[in-house]
Amino acid sequence: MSTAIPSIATAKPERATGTVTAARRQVVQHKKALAIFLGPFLLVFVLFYLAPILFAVLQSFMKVSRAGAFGAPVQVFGGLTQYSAVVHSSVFWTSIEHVVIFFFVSVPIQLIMALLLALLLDSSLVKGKRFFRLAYFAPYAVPTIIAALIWGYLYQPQVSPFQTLTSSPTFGPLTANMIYFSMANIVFWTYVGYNMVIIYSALKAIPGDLFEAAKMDGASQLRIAWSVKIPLVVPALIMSTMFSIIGTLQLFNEPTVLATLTPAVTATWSPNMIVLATTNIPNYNLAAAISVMLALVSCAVSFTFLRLTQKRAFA
Amino acid sequence: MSRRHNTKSWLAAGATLVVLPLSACAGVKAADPAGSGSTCPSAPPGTTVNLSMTSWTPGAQQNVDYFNTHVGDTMNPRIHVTLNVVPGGNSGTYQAYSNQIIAGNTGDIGMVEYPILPSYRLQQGLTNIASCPGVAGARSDFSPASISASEIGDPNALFGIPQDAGPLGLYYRKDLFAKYHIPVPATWQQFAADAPKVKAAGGYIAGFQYGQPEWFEGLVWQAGGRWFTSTDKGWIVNLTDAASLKVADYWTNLVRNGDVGQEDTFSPADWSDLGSGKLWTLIAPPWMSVLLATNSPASARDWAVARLPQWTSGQTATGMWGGSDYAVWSTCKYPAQAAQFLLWLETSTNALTVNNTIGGQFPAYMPAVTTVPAMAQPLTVPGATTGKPVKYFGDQVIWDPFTHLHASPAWQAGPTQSQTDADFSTALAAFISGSGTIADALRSTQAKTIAAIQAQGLAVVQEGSH
Repeated sequence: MSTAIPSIATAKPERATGTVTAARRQVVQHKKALAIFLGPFLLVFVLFYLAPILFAVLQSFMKVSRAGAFGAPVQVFGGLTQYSAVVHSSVFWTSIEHVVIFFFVSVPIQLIMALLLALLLDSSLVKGKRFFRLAYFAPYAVPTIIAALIWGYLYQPQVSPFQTLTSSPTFGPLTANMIYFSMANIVFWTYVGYNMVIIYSALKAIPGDLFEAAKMDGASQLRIAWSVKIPLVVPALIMSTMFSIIGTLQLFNEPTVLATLTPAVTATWSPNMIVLATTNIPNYNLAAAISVMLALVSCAVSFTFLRLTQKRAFA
Repeated sequence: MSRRHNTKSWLAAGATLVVLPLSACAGVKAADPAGSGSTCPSAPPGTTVNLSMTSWTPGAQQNVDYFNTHVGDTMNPRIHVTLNVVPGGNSGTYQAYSNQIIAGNTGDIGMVEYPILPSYRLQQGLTNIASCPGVAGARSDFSPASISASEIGDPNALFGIPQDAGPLGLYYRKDLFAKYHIPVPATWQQFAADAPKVKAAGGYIAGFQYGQPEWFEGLVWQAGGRWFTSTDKGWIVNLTDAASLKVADYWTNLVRNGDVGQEDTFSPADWSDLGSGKLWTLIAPPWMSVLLATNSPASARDWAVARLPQWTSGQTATGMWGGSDYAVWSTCKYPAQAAQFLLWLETSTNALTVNNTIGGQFPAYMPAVTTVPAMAQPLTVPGATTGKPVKYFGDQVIWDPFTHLHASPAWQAGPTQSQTDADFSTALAAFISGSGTIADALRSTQAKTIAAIQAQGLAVVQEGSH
């Protein structure tokens, strides 16, 4: 190692004598290409992604000051005023509690089902694979608002075709007892196929010789699924879980639709609904602080999850 | 002071960075330009003024077209209006207004419902048109409550020309009340006495519209409650006055006795129950008539309208749910012409007929009762399946009971009314789900409202400290 360094050092001046300008021009050309290829992206990225985030963070440290009953608003530096309001807001933490409960009601069963469906499609047992793959995935093409509206119709005893099922005061899908499951069902219906496709593509990427070797060793299909396939799609499962964590914290469409159908879901049920309600006041400073807090919570949860699973998945 | 200036320039820089060059920034306006003692700039004679207007009133395009071809050209200066049709206020338009005020591109005229108007004054978005030609003279022709809502606590000001009023009345199933020989309630005492009888007949006397805070506020308004008062020093907030608690206890009892329905207003379930005879009455304003006819076509000719039940027999009190103004934005260059157009739009028989027949609007302009022929006729809507005109309320002229009800001008909307409403409906949802009383909901909403008002930099003061 120590001998190699001087040889490079001595080689440099030799090359420098004749070709230094060419080398420099090459670097400049490279910069131009960089600018051309990256420029448009960076411009949009900075203008519509970084700048709004920066502006939101800036806003979250401001507060409004006025005089009288209708005084003009003056933005003044508010320090952590807004953040203290968020931290002390029971509505905010209740909404976080809602989505956390929702996560545990909804995500595990969703991913297990997605995995089972992917394994079934990947096995030699099923006929009409292409049809089923598309059929399971199709609900994902339905906008979540539409999905929530349609399920909403099915849930209301007055208009539902399932009268006895929906009109039960304890097990009706719009009662406070069942609302997490009813909402989870809508999300389940939409995303099982989507997660299945992710896992299925991971299964397809497994080299065939592994299965051959397993078969030669006398492993059954079930054993292959358990000992070969599942361990190899764990990274895909972790990715799906990550998406689900972030998606759950950002839950908005489904509860917003259900809020118009049942008192079990309020207008401030999920964190994003609170952000919308707060901008409507309008209190942009507080809304910005809630958004930043939500982003921090998302980051914390996602990274903790990754930390916990990284060794298992990518070792 | 220097810190404030720094903050302002920071903000200005931030706003420019993000939203590109903006003419105005919320943080840098000097004083309340909409205060009393305003002037009313007018365009010079012989010119043409182009006004932009934002609205979601059904039939607005028809009225604007008529104005442009028949009326605007005869005025001097000439007026031409461009209409921007938008979804209803709470479906995104109100938020757009707030953003437009910051960006300085609200245009000239915008439709705003009464309870939300104070919020835009607070954002310095409105022009005081009280001194514009013709306004002072027309003031007394509009219903006192709608004028009061447009004054926003300043009797010398006017921040909009009222469009429609939303006095609560009682829609009721005349067939069912007759069939079971139950008297149509004229007082709340009778309403409560009827409730168990209706329940025995297999229905509910009414739905408790927990998702519509403005509905409940209308009932408090009728009983003489007053939640907000603006003073020179700040806001008096009192959601728990005697009238509010009286109404709260009354409905708490009805709900806890299981005497009223709990359908979410405007949900398919609600329309279904209104059509099937599960719900016997609907406490709602005139604009509900067209919605009811469209969404519950099965019960055509079974409905009638009566005055809202009273706390004291023989009175004619009511409160409002909805109703709207056309506000003139502070970006309007020629408020005189905007006011001139709006006075035509909200007082001419032509325009009010369109508003009434297409949108079921009940004009805030009181002479309309006699000048608009449609308001002396039964409401006719296209039939559900046939498309043939149907007299949904039979031969009754349903506007009549509403004309005889009076909403007090004392009620004032709050500075953060959308927050008050959101928090109140959340609290009412908790009540409906079985926890606490409506009085509890009022108390928790009061606390949240005070916090939200203070977060706007406004002072909350105690009663009696004007």
